[in-house]
Amino acid sequence: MPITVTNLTCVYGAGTPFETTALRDVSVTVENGSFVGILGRTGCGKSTLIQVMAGLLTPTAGTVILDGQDIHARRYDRSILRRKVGIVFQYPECQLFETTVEKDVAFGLKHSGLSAAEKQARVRWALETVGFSFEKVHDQPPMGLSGGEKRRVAIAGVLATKPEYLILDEPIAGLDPLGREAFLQLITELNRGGMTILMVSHNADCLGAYARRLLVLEDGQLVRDGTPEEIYADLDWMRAHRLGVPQSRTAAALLKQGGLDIPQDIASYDALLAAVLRAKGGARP
Amino acid sequence: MREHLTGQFTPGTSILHRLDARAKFFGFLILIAATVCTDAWPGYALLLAVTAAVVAICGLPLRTALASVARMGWFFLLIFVMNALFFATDDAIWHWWILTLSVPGIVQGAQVTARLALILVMSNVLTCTTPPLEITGAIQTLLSPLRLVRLPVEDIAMILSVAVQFIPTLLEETDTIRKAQIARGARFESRRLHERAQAMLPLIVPIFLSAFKRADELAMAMEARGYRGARGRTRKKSVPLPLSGWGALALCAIVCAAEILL
Repeated sequence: MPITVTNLTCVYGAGTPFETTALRDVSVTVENGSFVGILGRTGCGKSTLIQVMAGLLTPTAGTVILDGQDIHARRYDRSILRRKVGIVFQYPECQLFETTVEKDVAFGLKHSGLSAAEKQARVRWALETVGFSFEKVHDQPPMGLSGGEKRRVAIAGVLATKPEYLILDEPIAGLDPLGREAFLQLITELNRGGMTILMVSHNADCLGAYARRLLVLEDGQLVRDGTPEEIYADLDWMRAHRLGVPQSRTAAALLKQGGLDIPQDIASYDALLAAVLRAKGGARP
Repeated sequence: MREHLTGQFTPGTSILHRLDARAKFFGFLILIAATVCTDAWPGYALLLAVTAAVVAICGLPLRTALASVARMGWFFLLIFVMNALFFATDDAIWHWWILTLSVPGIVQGAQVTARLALILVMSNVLTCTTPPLEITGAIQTLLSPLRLVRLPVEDIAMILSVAVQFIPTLLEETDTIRKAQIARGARFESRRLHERAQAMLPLIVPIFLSAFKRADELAMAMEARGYRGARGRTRKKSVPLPLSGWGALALCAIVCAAEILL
């Protein structure tokens, strides 16, 4: 079942001098198994949207329907939501608190009703998914790990509940290029395994290369909804809305200016490379 | 955390907003003294008028200005009931076990409640119309005589201003970590007290860690920019109290004198 968001409006500090509208009448449906990117500049309402979808913020108006049930209804059992929807905030390493990696990753399984053996199997799976050897790290204190390792432990802590939907808020901020690549590869793997991914970023490069669908937010409104290729093809629109243009797309525009006949719906380096090779007569390097 | 907090500074252009923070703070202390000195009805009437005038000229929405009192409603009720029921007197209207209801008791309860409410409204208006850093500046000025008894006034002021500046950051961080742990299945709303205390650990540990980390980074940044203790530092803005400040203080003093006389 998809997540359906209908006419979502979110106002902060209503009735005070600080009143701001973070979301205005946003409606969108996220299909199961999709990889959706949410693109927008700072303050456009991206974080508010995902927090409302994860049931962490109550909207001023509108509904979020998950598996046919309104998650903001008073009668709704939130523990179902917590199991199904995992959310990774920016700098997730800040949420570590336990004395060992294993305990921290298992934190989300506390109320799951799983047996101790099942829990350990889950923790092992989560840690191995993010690239750790369970034997090596499980009894180490998380605070002693490096920054990148801490982040992976924190993500394992979210994955441990095996969420059907994984929401990520700027997950690659502060990672080096290799770490970024490895992380996005991991998310792609999870998506292939059937997990629905919702990734917020202002980095058009990484969303273009990995997301299959893109939602563009501006001033709390959903202004575009389409594939990265469709959206990035319209360079003038991207610039008019002051979104960062991906380097691969810029390169495609420059190559065309330089006389190479290549398509302009380029959203990733791989697509750029393929287009250039085709234009050059299909010769493989 | 983008929700508005009670007593949070609200930018504005009213006379109170523009008044020198030192005058505002000291005037506030004088008015507290006046409130404490009052014990006659005309006195309360005058104080009520003064507070109403302050609320009227502060330019804040009435809800914002009175929010602090509204939030403490139960506390006020408790104070009133305690005063009304435990007042030792002979002419009781109603007596049961250790409880005594009497007219002087009720009057006493009403007076205490009124005093507290007035002080609370005034302090709320003060913090709503004054940026936190100006308040710490005012505290530094007021403490400066204590330099004579070797109190490190500048250091205290620096500690205060750093602490004040960290409040919004820490609140925001607390909010994010709380949400992250809730999303992982943490239950902060458990009914049982010991469970609740335990449930706070996933919140408290990360916040302490990050507060220490931030403090370390700030200390390093301050030293890198040449900070060597607050002693002898000059202020960016160092002006004598303007005429409006003296005027405000004089007004407060008149009110206080009137209260003592009434």
